[in-house]
Amino acid sequence: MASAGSGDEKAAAAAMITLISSDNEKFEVTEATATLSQTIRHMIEDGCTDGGVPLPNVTSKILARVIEYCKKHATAAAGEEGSSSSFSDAAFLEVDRAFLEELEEFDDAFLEVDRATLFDLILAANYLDIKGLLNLTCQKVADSVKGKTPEQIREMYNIVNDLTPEEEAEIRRETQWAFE
Amino acid sequence: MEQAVQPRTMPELIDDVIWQILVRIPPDESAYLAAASLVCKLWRRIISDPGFARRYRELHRTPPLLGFLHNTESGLLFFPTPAACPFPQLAFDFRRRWALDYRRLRALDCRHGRVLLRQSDKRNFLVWDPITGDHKELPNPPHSPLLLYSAMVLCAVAGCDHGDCIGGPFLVVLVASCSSGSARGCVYSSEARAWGTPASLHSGNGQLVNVKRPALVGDDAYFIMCHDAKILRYNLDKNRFSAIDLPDGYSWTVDVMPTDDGWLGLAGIRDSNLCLWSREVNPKGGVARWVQRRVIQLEKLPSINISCKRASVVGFAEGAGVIFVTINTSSTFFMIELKSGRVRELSEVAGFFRFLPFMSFYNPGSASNVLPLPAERK
Repeated sequence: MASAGSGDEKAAAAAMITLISSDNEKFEVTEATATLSQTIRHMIEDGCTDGGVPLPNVTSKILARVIEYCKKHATAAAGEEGSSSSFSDAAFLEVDRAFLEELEEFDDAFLEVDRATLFDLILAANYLDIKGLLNLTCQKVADSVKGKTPEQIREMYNIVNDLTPEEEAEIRRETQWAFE
Repeated sequence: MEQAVQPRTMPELIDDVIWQILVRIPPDESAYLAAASLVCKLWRRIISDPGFARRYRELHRTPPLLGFLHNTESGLLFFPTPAACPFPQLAFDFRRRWALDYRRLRALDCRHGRVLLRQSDKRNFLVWDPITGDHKELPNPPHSPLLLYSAMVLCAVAGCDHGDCIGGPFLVVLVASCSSGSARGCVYSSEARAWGTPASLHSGNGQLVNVKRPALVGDDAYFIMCHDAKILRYNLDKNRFSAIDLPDGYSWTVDVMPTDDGWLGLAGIRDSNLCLWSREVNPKGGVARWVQRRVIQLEKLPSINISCKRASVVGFAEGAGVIFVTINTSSTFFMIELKSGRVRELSEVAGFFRFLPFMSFYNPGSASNVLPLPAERK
């Protein structure tokens, strides 16, 4: 095991992990970025990241986006930990607010993708267990059904209506109030 | 949304992920979940699962405002506030549903999904659960006859988040002003099926204002009194009364409510402004004091284009951040959403005594909200 010391700490901070997409593209990321994914965090803890982490469920196009998200949010997490006594309370709050706003803008821009990409991001966030990204992307889809009829939702997301006419009639009776 | 190029087929989401999406459907309109439950078999199955309903309530915490009950000269009425309400007015038709004369019913309080009613002819109290349609009649309280009184209904389970306590045990707090100048209070427990030992406090000239809905903050129930501008605090745990002053210059026309951060809040009108206060204690120690948190200039709000000199607060929906205000006493009503600043005129509402918010989640197909609607509909 590594002995404690400033040199080792620096090395640990800069430790790089290689992620390998389904189409065999390699991405070098810092451990801080990679461990936003609980799945990868567990792999690091178990010491199975030598030679890279293969991610057979994630394409290079999606993995690049996921890494972009993780980099931004890992910086945010590091910023929160690192900034303690150097600011007065008021100044700290000011910086904090500005940073949160920047993060919010980043998230909004990040979600400007087509629906298929959005679904791919959801699947990747779920597989990699990245809570923030899963929440962000699922919320985007959840918000999109607001005020839509069942037909519009099916059309938006290519969903086949497999309810039998009897089932549909029964649910319609029960939810009649919603469509009056 | 742009649909110019469909680049490729949509990736298929796994059930677990669809669950994660559906549970995040915003609760502000109950109709959103209803529409989603009609999309396909899988969505229907997820939404009607009791585990989903539970998680949905946990995640969103504050139930949406479905409408309010209000007592009018012609009786108790329900007014739905969202565009589509799972509890249409007919569901609140007391006469048709349980042969009660709604003209003789008065709603006193509404909280944690339960409504406290009093029948003016029989002079008895009823606790009614609009979701299940169930109602329980309470035995007469120890200090009847009641002249000036105020009452509160609440869930009896300590630490409950009230997401799933429908049909569970409840308490009713009743406080009454006596001619001797004292206030007396006691608590009915549905589990014990009895009223507890009364407590009393000499309250000076104070008389309870029974048209104002009391507020519950922690273990304390707060009731507004007139004449000496005080609020009566009744601690449920210790069965003890105390009195606190209103902020300077305010009278019984204010409304009390819990604030989002757990203090006692107060809404009152001053010089055409809606002023929101909270009673806070400095964390470093000290006595509780009133702090003015927000001032809203009523006349500057959209859709209020009249003088608000004679405005007063008639109700609130805690958590939902909705305050009901009447302008020019009982002729015009407004519903003000504090967060968005949205204002809605309630022109269909007639007469006012108090507005009792009815807030509840409604998950289509979930066994926890079987509301037997009357067969005939408009």
